[in-house]
Order: sequence, then C-alpha cells, then structure tokens
Amino acid sequence: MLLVAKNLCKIYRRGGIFARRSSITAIKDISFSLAPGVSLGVVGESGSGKSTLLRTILKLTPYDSGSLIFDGLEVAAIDARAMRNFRQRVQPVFQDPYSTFNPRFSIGSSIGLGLAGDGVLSTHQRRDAVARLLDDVGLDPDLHSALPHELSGGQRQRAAIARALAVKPELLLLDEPTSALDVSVQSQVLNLFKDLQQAYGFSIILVTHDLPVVTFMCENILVMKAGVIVESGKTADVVDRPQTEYARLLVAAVPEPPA
Amino acid sequence: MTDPAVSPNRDAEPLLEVEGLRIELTVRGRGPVPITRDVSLRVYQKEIVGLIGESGSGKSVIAKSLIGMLPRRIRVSAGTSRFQGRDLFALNAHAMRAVRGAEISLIPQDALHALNPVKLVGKQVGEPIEVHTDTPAVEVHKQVVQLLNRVHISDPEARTQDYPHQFSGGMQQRALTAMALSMKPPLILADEPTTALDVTIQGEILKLIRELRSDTGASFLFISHDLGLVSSLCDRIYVMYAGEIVESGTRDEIFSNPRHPYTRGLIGSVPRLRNNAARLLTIPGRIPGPGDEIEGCRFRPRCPMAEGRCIVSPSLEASKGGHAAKCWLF
Amino acid sequence: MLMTDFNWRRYGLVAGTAPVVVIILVTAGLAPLIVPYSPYDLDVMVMLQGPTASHLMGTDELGRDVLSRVIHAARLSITVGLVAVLIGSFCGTIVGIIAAHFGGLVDAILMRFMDIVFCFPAILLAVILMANLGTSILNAMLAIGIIFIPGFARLTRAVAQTVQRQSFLEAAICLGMPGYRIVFREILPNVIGPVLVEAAVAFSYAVLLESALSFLGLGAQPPEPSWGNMINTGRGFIDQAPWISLAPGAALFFTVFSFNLLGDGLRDVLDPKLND
Repeated sequence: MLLVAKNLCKIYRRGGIFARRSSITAIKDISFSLAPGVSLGVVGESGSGKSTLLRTILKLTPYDSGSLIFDGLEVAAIDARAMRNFRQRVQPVFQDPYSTFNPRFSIGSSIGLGLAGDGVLSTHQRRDAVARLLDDVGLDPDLHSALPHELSGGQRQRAAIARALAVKPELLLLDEPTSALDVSVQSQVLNLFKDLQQAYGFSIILVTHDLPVVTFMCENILVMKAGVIVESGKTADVVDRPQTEYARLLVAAVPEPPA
Repeated sequence: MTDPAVSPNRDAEPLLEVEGLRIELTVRGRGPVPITRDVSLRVYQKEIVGLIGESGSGKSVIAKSLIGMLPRRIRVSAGTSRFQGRDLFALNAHAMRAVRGAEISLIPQDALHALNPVKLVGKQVGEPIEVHTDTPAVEVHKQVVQLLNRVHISDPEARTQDYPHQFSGGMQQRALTAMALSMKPPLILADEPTTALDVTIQGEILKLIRELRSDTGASFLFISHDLGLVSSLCDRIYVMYAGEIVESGTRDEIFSNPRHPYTRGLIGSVPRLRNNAARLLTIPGRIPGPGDEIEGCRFRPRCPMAEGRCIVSPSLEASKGGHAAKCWLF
Repeated sequence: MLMTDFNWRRYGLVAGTAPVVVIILVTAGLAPLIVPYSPYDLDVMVMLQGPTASHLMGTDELGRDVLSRVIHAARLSITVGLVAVLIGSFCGTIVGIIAAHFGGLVDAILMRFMDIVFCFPAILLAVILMANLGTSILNAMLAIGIIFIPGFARLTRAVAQTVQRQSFLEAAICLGMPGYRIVFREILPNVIGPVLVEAAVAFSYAVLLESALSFLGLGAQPPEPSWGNMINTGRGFIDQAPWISLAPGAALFFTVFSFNLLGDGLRDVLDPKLND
C-alpha cells in the first residue's frame, strides 16, 4: 500500500488569545488505503471535510490524532531533512487556475521550481526537462516564457500538472481540478490525467463534488459528510448499489442528460 | 435571422421574441467587439427554455440585456426583443424600470452577493411589491410570508426577521426566487442560479422551478453551462457557441439526436454517472474570443467534419419540426 | 496615433508627475552646482529686498539669497525624506512579513507593538525621539523613519497574508521550497508594488515632518537652511518681507504635492482593473 490512513482526525480550534475557544471537528476517524497506480475519488458537499483531508495528506496542516502512513513512513513523524523528499513524492493540483501561478514569473520558471535549488540539474538540463513536461501535458514548449495571465484557464491547469509532474511524484492529489474550467476543456484535462497516469504510474486521490468525474476516473470511492466517511468501496458498487441514505441521495441528485 | 423554433402550442404568440440580437463591448483602441452575433430566440407561455453555453458564448449578457442592465461598456447595437407587444430595447429608462421586477424578473447567479447584507430578508423579498405597487406594508408582509412558504422556506414568519447571512446558500437562493416571483411576472430569467450550491440543494432548486412553472404559469429562461441541469429541467434548449446560436430544439431532440458538431462534442465530453468510455470525447482547439473574426462558420477551425463549403457561414435552418442547427450538414 | 494608443487611465498620472519629480530630485542633487549664490553668503547691503533680477526670490534678514537657500534646503529635505522612507519601509516590511509568516503569538505581539507606536501623533513622537536622541539631522532621519515603520508593517502584513492564501504559495511549499526562498520568490515580489506606492506618499509626509521639526528648532540648525527653519525665521518678517517664508513654503507645497500625485499614479499603474 502506498498510503494508509487509520482513524485520522483533525480539529480546528477557533479563537486566539483574546477570543473564546470553540472547536470544529473537520475530519474524524478517516481510514482508507491506497495502492500504487490506483485512483481514489473523495466525494462530498461543502463542509464534508474532503479538502481538509487533502491538506492533511499534503502536510499543509497537521493532523491531531490517528495515523497516516506513506510508503511505510508516519507522515507526522517526518523530520525536516526528509521533508523535501516526502513533499516531492506527493504533489497537488489545485482548483483555481487563476491563483495557481505566481503572476510575476514565467510558467516555465514556475514549472521548474521543483527542479531548482538542489544543484543536480544545470540550467540547460532544467530547461529541457520543462520543455519535455510542457509537451507531455499537451502545451506548446514555446509557452515556457509566457506569463500566467497570457494563458487560458485550461492551459494553466495543464501547466500546473506539468509543475506537479516535474518532481516525479508517486501520488497526485487533485482538488476539484476541473471545476473552474469550461465543459469542453474539462474533458481534455480529465483525459490527460488518465493518459499521464498510464504513462507514469502514479496514484491519484481526486477530491470533488462531481460524482460523474469520479465514475470516469476512479476505481474506488470515499463518500464524506460532515467530516466522516459514510460509505466507501468500489465506485461502480457504490453508485449502483448505495448502502447509505446519503450516498443514495448523492447519486439521485446527479442531473443526467437523457440517453 | 429569425428563430425557427416551433411553439409547443403551435398557434400561440411567443411571450418573448428576440431577433437579431447583437451585443457589443467597446474596447479602448479597438472599437466595438461583438459578444453576441445575430441571436434570435423565443420563449412561449408556460415553458422552461434553456440556454447552454461555455465561456465566450455570450449567454451571460443576454439576460441582462433584456432588462436593461448591461454594464457600462457593453450595449445592444442591433436587434429587437418583443415582449408583450413592446420592444424592450426601445424602452426608455422609466419604462424599463416598470418592467423590471414586475413583468420580467431575474434570479441572479451569486445569491450571497445579490442580497443586501444589512437589510432584513423579509424587507428585501417584499421590495418589488413596494416599488411597483401602493400596497400597504402590512399587506406586503403577508404576501412575503406567503412567498417564502411557496419556495418551501420553513417557518417563514420568523425567517422574515433574519439577515441574509443567517440563511444557508440554498435558502438564500430560494429567497431570491421568492423575490423574483413577488410581482407574479410572466417571465423569469434565471442566470446560473445554482452555480455556487451543493448538488443536493441544486436538485431542490430545480424541483422548485418545475413546481413554479406548473403552479404559476410563469415561463423561465434558464441560462447555464451545466448540460446535466439544463437537460433535466428544460423543455426547449438553445445551444450557444462563440456568440451565436448553433442549435435549437426540444430537450429530446437535442440530447438524443444532436446535430451540430459542437453540440455533439459538448454532450460527448461530459462524464456520465454510468457507462463512461475509457476516454471522453474532446473538442480540439480553443474557444474563440469575442473579437476573433473567423471566416464562415465560427466552429469551423475546430470541427472534425469541416468541409470546403464551411467557409461560408451557414444559417440556422429548421429541417423538420423545430429542430434547427447552424450547419451545412443538416 | 501614439497618443491615442497610450493607456492614459493607467499611465497618465505617472507620465505627468514623473518628469516633475525628476526635475525636483535633479535640482536638489545638483544644488551646489546650480545655486547663483552660496546659501551662507551675507550681504547686509541687500537685506530684506524683494524679488529682483539678481535675487529672484529676494533676500532675507542677513542679505542671503533666498532662492539659493531654498534650493539648498531642498537637498536637505529630500535627503532626510529618502533616508527616513528607506528606514521605515525596510524595517516595516521585515516586521510585516515576519508577522504574516509566523502568525499566532508572534503576529499578535509584533502588531500590538506597532499599534502602540502608531497611536502617537507623528510630531509628538518625533519630538520625543529627538529630545532623547539629540537634535541633529541624522536623528531627524531616524526619528521620522521610526514613525513610518508601523504603516509599512501593516501594509506588508496584509499583502503577505493575501499572498499566503493563493494556491501558488501552497504549491511552492508542496514542492519542498525552503522558507527563505518562498519569502523571496513568492511573497516579496508581490509586496514591492504596494510598498512603492506607500513610499511615494510617505516621502512627501517625511519632507513635511522634517520641515515641521526644523520649524520647531529641531533638525537642521542655522545657518544650515531648511524649509522649516526658513519659514520659522520668516515669521518675524512676515509684514516687511513675506517672501522669506513664502518661497520655502511654496517649494514645500510643490514638492509634497508632486510626490503625492506620483504615489497616486503608481497606484494606478499597479491597479489590475485599469487594463486595456
């Protein structure tokens, strides 16, 4: 197993020194496992905790109890020296294509960010790697010198995928990666994820509110509500034979074109 | 160019008839840029008409243009919109104000920002009544409570004393719907009314709209980018691309037998709940910007079935019945 | 053709004020080379004379050429202004970024400290500081610089916090970027713009403060000319020789106004809404 979560909990405490303390349980008792090369969809509505789960796996926020084991390492116990290595094995693609790149730098520079600074690659080699990545995600390699605002939303998301792939991750965490894109662009990006997964072999955790996207992309599914997992299993099973009321509700609520 | 759509009740006059609508954006140093080009559509009594489009289609300005609320640098440069015997585009500000909210109302996109955060919900929902009629405050309040009830907000009397932030997203949208209904307008424009809402809440709002159509006899023009929503709600649908209507027909006609290559591509590119292919259909290339001048059919550069004759722009013709596609192949 | 293509809404103000500001700075910088007389030369034969061909702004009570003194004073005021703004913006930015980066207790303590400094009326604080540090020009620069720190701290903290909420910052963290690189690549470039705008306006306020201080007898000491102390001395002669106060007053007004407008212009340049 690449990633194993057991009884993961995260509580947000509101209030500082002067305000009254109150706590919100963002996620509770989250347990699941993910094998290499497999895709897991996490579906829920607002307040379900799915984004918190993602941020916890990315180590952007710490978890309060339970365990999260990535390739045999307890994520909370990763020390500062092993941090960079861990970070590069787990990469995000965020929802908003418009804030996903620093507006002041070219996307080539931002895509190569993960490759810089450790002295392993020369500038030349880095430039080549970025060109290859742009090509992999279906972008013209000449765009490496473009600034983010010169690209469309779809192009920016592709560039964000290139940035994530640059460090050769084993796990890609996708937070509503196509929700902000036009319908016709969404399909291009979703196909791209599938193709890249075939080529590179990484695992995917896809967080979304859009059930059909999960059916298209993920073999397994977690249904979350109010911070807990209400149902989990193979996507086809959960969609065809939902066991819980909430899952049934979610499936029924998907508006479908006829035929 | 007129709309070849056929009314569900063949002899009836359309409630709203838009013809040749051209909306332009003035860009500094470039002159006017067309956002919609020659758009014609109709809405008949008691029907829910859907307008589907992606970004750059022009759908988002159409609702606002009908009620005279286009932003500063955008204006209607050509076309008519006949509504109850008058051309909406020819109305002066005073006359338009009388129409807005009373005969045509709008359910806007972003519920939270459409409501005044410092005014009680009850007051806001009753505002159209106060503005358009002389109804005394007590009577207005009664009607507001009835309206909130009609949109299934529980405990409506107490809710009138709440502020918008105390409402959930779904309730805010219902409150806006109530506001749109308050003067019992024959036509309601719904501009992406469920975008910010959860899927389950979205379903409830759709149910509400269907209910209202049968109860009040109002017609809806439902504007959205979400094919699933439009397909489950609307009787007739117009598909827009790059400022033009490229296909129109009934729900079944469009979704069971899409004719325009763009519509086909669009429908094929949406993932389904079940039975997805290994890869989704894609439309190559990018959506043209409003200012892009393309010779002939605007979809030609991306069309898998483009031919020589596509250099000339096809017209929106109905072959039989009302199902029309702006394509030489049909 | 060029004029109509030019985005006047965005660059108009800067285009208009930048030349003026440059002229002011160059004049001040080249002061010793361009003044017609030395600011210290006495000539009791021509004292308290109105503007004439040989003394364009008249002479003061000791027969010194007012124009030369005004230009020389410009150099002083502008230097004080620049150094003070540099001190304020540099220290303020560091405080703001640290507060935003660490958050929590560190943020609370730092900002409360800034609030305390902010509470003092500028003049009062400057006077208190200079009473403790001494009345030299250097201390004036320091005092005024300290007064500006909270303003810059608040600004950079707010901007840094906005940047921290952007996805690109989280993406950088997830790529394993070390903290200092994140500050220099992701945060600072986005902070510089607003800081520059604030600096332009702060500069004009600094010049004003320096004049106020030297008006009160702190800062530049006679015979060193400063707009402030010239206005002060001129008070005694306001009936007979108003130009002694008016000339430096006008120069002060003009400089402050120009830099303020430049600040507004820079804000327009940075405003994303003023796109074509």
